Amino acid sequence: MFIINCPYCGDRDQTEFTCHGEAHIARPTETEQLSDEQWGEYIFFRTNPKGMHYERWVHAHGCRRWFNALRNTATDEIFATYEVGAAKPALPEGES
Amino acid sequence: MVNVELQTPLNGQTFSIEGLSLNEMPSCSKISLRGDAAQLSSAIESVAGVPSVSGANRFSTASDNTQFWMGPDERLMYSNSPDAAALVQSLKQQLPAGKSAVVDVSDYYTVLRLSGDKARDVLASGTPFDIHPDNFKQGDCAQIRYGNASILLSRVAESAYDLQVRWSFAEYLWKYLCKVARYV
Repeated sequence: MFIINCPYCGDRDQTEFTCHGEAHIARPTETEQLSDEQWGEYIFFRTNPKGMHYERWVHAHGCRRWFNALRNTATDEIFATYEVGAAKPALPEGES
Repeated sequence: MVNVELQTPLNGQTFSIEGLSLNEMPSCSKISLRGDAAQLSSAIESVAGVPSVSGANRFSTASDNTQFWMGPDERLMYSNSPDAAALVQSLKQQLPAGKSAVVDVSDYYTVLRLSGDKARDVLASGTPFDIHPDNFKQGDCAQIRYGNASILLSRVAESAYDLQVRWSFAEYLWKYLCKVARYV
């Protein structure tokens, strides 16, 4: 159990939130020119790192807003939460 | 014309033990609004006279009408006026069409009031949310989990809380609260 800081509601319990995978994946703009391989890349392939990961979260039982978080997938430590559309926060020193 | 009688999911039940009382509030009009926060505030103020909320997770009340902060672009309004359809119409007139949504959700939710010295302990038994007065003051509201139900909790007085719950979860929440009340 840990506490997650919702950018809108502040500190709330983990059980109010759900995680929805990697963040900052932009939809291709010229979709009619994509090959099947490029579509597959966009839809199915994720980095799945052991370590620092930018991810999408939703405050499902709270304000129901989506936001992004920077989390270490190995230790579960959350380094930042920020609104969708905001720039990626920098990685903390010593992390990659 | 058929005479339709307004019902609530718990038929206005009450429950009380020493230091605690729980009752279902009479039904009221509930309207969900989405759009630009400043425009929502001015629309609600002009239609219902409720001043805008003072920040995130706050609510404000004026003569039995209330507005709740539900999100950065979302408000919920309670009104003692029984004609929700008319309220929706007058709110819609104040808001830009296509860039806002006004929906009557009166029958989607019901409100339980929990009050008394033990109210805080009963709440604390079912939610991970911190309801200590340092964190949750009078005039604060929060959308939280209680047991398995998602509720909108608001602190209406020093030891009185309103719990807004979905109609279909009302019985579950009621039984949960009554059961917890016997142990605190």
